[in-house]
Amino acid sequence: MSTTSTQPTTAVPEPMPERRRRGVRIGPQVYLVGVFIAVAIVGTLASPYFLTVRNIENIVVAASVVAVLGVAQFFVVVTRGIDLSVGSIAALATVIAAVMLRQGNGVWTTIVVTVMSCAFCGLVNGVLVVYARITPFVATLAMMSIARGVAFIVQVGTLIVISNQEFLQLFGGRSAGVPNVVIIALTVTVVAAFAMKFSPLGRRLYALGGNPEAARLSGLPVNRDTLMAYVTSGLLAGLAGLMLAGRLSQGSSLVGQGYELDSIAATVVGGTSLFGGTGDPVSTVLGALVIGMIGNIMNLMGIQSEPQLVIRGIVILLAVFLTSGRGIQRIRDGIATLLRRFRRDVPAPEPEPIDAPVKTIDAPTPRP
Amino acid sequence: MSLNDVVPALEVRGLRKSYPGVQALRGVDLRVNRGEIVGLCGANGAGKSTLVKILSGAEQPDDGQILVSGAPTRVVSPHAARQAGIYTIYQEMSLVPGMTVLDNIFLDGFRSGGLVVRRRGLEQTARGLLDRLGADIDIHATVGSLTMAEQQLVEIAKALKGNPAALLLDEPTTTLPPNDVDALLTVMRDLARGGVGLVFVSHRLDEVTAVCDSVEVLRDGHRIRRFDAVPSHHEIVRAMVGDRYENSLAAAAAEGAAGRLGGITPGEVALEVDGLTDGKRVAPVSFEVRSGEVVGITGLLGAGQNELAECIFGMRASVAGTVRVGGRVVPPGNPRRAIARGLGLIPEDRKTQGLVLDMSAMKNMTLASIGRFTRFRVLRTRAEAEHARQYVRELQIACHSVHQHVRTMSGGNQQKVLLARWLTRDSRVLLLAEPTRGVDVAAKEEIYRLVRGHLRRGGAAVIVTSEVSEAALCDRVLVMSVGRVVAELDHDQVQRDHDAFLAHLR
Repeated sequence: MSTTSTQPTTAVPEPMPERRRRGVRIGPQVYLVGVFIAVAIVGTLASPYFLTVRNIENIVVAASVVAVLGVAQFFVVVTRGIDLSVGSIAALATVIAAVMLRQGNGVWTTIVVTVMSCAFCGLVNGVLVVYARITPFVATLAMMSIARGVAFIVQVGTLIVISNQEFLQLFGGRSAGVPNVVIIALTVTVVAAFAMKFSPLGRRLYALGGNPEAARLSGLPVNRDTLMAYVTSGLLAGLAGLMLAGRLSQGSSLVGQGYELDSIAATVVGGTSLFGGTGDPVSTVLGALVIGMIGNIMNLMGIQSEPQLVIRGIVILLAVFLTSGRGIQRIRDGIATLLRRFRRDVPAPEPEPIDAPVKTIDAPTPRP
Repeated sequence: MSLNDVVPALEVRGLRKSYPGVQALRGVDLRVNRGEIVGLCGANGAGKSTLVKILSGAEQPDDGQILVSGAPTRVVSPHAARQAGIYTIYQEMSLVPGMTVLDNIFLDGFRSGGLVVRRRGLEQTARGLLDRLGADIDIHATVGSLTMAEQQLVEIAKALKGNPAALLLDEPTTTLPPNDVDALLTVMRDLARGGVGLVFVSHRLDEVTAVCDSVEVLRDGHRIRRFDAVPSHHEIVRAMVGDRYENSLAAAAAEGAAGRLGGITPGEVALEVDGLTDGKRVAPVSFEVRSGEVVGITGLLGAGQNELAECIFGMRASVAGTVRVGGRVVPPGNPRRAIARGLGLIPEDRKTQGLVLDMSAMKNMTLASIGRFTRFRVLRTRAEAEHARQYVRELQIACHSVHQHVRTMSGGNQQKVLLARWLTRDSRVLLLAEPTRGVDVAAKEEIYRLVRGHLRRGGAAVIVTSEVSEAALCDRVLVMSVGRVVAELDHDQVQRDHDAFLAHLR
């Protein structure tokens, strides 16, 4: 995708770095904010109920779990990896928390043990990727299966109801009128954004994703940092699981299915490249909100769940096309080319020579 | 038949090609007769690879003509090139390792006609092609299980299937062990006898003089000379290097010792390499560099100088030998530890090995010393930016802000950013691999000035280069050939007798 820059276009070379520079200054990408607003406008037009406090709260509460999972995903994606196990680890977290609470453990003990267990799952992912050299996709695919299986074995039965009021208040209640899950998600976002921008680890993760070889040859602790990314991902997935458990008042190995894909969608819509080294947590959370809003709008319009899947897929593709920046560039280039051709008024075709047919050879040599 | 003797298999007239900022070819002519092997020589950046790319259809020329068997031909794609009768064999194979020899040979088109592949006929054809090369290869073996030499033969067989007028071999011998090289040269001679015109691109001049009938030399995008008879090894080097070599020495004489990078009274030993070898590309090498001293390691491309630098820095595993910096042993195979001991590497390929292209100049500069810019584990971005600005001024890096992405900067400026990384880190010994490749003249001088500054401050440097004129600037020069050091000359010896110096390059 990025190799197109060598094309002999007559475009002026100067504006390009200028635009890049501006993009770097503003954290979340300009286009993403545009997409966000566009979706919000569509929602307002589609239903009068969309812009009510209650509906917005619905959206934000629902999106907060995906946002935390998205940030978890981001830490891995920025290193050129992918973590398919976040949804399963969240499910495991709900079960561990439910079991521990049923046994009468304290809320904070439960939280610490749950989150640590999930961080351990992340550590296993990291070890598989870094030391066993298994590709992230495969390693975390295995963990996705293992974590859900363990959750199922631990829960013994269908689901475990959580009745600990303190726990339910912590993850299902409100503080100063704001749902606690939203506060948690916001905190995670801010801390992650700060860490990526102002901590040495954040800097190293960007470097490692941007060019692993250069990072290694600059003496960065590449293996340790990669491990850290997976551990952080597991830890945050555990936290998301606790949020889910609080909201559903239960622990179940069946929750959180498909969340791994939602989290990937959130990062990607947020403009993070799956090739690593780009993006930021705030954009990811905005991506989660965009996806959340789309689902909400379709619910309000009474669209059935199957067409919803189709529309959601298409909207994700569109959003990625726009937020990656390249999309806008392409459209602009395309229009420019069309105009040029139109003005010249001569067909003067400049066909891409890549798959040119044999005909274009002027004189095929007659050889026996 | 008589026509074939007169009309060249492949002829190129006035080929021009420019890339943004670089005029790669400035009107190149080339002629390959049927049955002739033409050697194509030139230093890095002379335009060889651009020429090969154009002839293979991967790039389009701005101007000029390509004639295949006398007929003007537009080579608009690799497919068109093959259709026209030009077939290129690259250094990196274009075979699919998991498929059989037979399938690979016919990968680019089943010429049997009809929808159904006539297996029997294909097998016969494939065997015939391999026999013609004198290759005893099972056509049902998977390509991945073959040796490099065998794979190369399969590649050639694939080319012969199209009955090419001209065959381009781009550095075909670099990946082969010596015995197989001889075998390949024999195959090339046989092919030429069969009427194919061959272009042999190689940095190994011994091979060029051994197999070629004539030699074309490129320099700075010009065809500088055509030797119709096999020239001596020395004549080729002369044509390749030109008077650039003398000029730099003349300039040196005019400005006193200015043409010498170091020339500082050396201090204590800074870098000590003792019997270092990777067991493959680098035979045991020993040398030392004192502080204030710059040592050049040169050789033709692939002579092992870059691999040696990689071993010293620990990015390539060494099987024996030690590296010491300031008397302390550098643990092998670990760049992080090497950096901690005071080594800094400007890698051969700055884009893939050195820079994080989508990061700012500032972040690239401080990458190896982020710890210096933190307080309570938080980055002090203001101090970092101030530091970067200081280096931008000092090294005269052209950028509109320290936050500019290095991807958008020119080669020379990118190289300075990398230098700034190690200056920031206070690295004592700099290893510079091809530090001025793809860098314009002004930036080149600038880089030399920075290296000199580093030496004045008591640092040491090793410049690994395939440009002899660059090596000649150093206090001492090690010349490598096929993985071993064949000569060690000091600056005066190089200046006094450059013919002797050049004679070591082979």
